[in-house]
Amino acid sequence: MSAPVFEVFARKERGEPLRHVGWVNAPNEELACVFARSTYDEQNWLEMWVVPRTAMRLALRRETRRGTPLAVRPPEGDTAALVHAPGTGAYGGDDVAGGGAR
Amino acid sequence: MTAEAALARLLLALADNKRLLGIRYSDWILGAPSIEAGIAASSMAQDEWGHSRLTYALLADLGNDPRALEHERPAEAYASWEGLDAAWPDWFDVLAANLLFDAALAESYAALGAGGYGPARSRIQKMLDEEAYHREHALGWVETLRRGTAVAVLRDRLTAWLPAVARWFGREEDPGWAELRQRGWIGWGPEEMRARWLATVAPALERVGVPGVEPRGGAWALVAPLDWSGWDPTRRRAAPGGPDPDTLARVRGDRNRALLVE
Repeated sequence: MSAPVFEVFARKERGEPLRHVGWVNAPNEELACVFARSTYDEQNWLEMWVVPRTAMRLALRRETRRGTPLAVRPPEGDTAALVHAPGTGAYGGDDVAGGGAR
Repeated sequence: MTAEAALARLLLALADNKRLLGIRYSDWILGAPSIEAGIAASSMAQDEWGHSRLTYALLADLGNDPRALEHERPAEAYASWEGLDAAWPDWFDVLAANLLFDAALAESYAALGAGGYGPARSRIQKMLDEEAYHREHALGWVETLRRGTAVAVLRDRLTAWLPAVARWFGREEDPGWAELRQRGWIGWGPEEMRARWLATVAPALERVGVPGVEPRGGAWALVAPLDWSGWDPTRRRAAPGGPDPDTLARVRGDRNRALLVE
């Protein structure tokens, strides 16, 4: 079973921006919240949020001059590199946003 | 029986069951349905062990040696529920325990926390806060599985577990409850614990079609009367025996005795 990916964000203090701390595979939002807490609760977070990766949209990606994979503009609609490099499969890499990329 | 002896008996049952439940959760840290599920099992196991340690420590205030309690008792001295005696065959038992027995323990701690025994009151709220996550975990899985074919297995497992967990609370006439109530050390007795527990678990049981509960008179009730044959009110179980040899060795730390630090 390849469960949907939920990105996990958290902040330590009131007013501090949310930061991306990781992701979890979970079949639904309820378990995503439980799994996010048990997986990423080592630090003293003030609050933690989960977002289904399908809800994320690529708003901007600049090309760089370095020869990294991200320097190559992906085909139209391919947002696989949104959070993680493409090709990571079920380990947080699939179920990406953007529509038509899968 | 003195109130102190009754309290020690209640605390021992809570501590032993927390310790054993932690062991049973830990059995499935590896081999869970997913990495995330295993991490969640690990987290719950740690909580249970922490709670058991705190509860054994409460017994020290009542003149007991926590080290002897944790490391030196035979299986027959454990006041642990029979469903925890041996490893569970699969994840469905983890979920049945998580939904039913974990919640039963939480209700018992809530009753103790609502009483007037100060050392317990000061420690129980943190435990109950952590138990709220265990409940969310159980309900999350129920919601996940009830939409798929695996719900039939979960339903069967919960149906099988329900009467024995419901019985675990005991009876009002069991020795010790009257003394605890008279001293004001518990907020309420086993009948109300069972009723409160049913109120928390029955809606989930109904959602997956477990036939053992029904609404009755504005509350949830068990459909069938409980079977008290063989019931041992001291050890809070109906089956003889205790944790199996492998479980006992792990619970007591037998194989690592040489490393035990004072």
